[in-house]
Amino acid sequence: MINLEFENNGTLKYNTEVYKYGAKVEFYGKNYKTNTDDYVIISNIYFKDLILPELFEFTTMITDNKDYLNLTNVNYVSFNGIWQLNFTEEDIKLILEKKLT
Amino acid sequence: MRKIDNFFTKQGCDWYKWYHSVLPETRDNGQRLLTMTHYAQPFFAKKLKQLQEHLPQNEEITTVNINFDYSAGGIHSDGYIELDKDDKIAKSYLIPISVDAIDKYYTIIFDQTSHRAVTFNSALGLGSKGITTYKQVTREEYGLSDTPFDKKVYENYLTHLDYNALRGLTVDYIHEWKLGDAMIWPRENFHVSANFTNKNARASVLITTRYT
Repeated sequence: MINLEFENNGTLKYNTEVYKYGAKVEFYGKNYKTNTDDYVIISNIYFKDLILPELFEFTTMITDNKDYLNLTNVNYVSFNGIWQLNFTEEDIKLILEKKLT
Repeated sequence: MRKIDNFFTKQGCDWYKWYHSVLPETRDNGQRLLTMTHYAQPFFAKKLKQLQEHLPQNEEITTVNINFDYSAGGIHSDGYIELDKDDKIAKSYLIPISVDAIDKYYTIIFDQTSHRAVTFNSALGLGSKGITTYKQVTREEYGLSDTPFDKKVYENYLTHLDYNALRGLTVDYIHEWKLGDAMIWPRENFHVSANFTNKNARASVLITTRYT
């Protein structure tokens, strides 16, 4: 149902779980002392084969950095933490309506 | 090539029904609910690639519509319209995505052709229902002969039309609808839906192409 495309620039590792209307990605393994510049870009979100970058607006991330503990609308990941996507079928309708009308 | 088996899997058929349900605009043209897929939009790129992979390499998609038919249509060709008059028109691909378990559906392909998209709907007594963007022509304008139409084909498939209005037409092929199988014909060939009973069960994806 949901496919995520990643561009990994460094040593961050990740585990992905997908659901009917959501996904969870755990990012881990970044060493902030030795690999300061490492990051991952989530380059695309596909829902049922439709490319819908608007779904980034439905994402949150909890990180292990106390200054950036809770983030929203996340496609650039430079901290260890949990990235989540949650939406509804109604959100898909609204996204398409906005795109097409 | 008259058909491609398993153009869509059952899952593929269901996908188009789902997609129809989330799109913002569906038009009722008096015979069907028609939804444009917006196949050229970037968000549809992956699906377009999947469709294109089923087609010959020298054909390019120009239309992808989803139709929920509740009434049998009139005779028309899927030739060019003003917008694409310079295209080298290629094929029509009609893929059933929903069929009735008992009622059978057919599409009749005629030998007669028109490179321009035209319809006999008005001449057949169907008025402006169904085809809204094609030019309406009369039998006289098109120059159909007075040779009686095949009575057996008429009685089996086309009783929703006036028998006398079919004079001069001859049948090239009769397609039976099968879920997921693409029925194919040259866009210039006149064609028509056979009459059908269950008005709530039938849906299809129509793809038209041009030669590259």
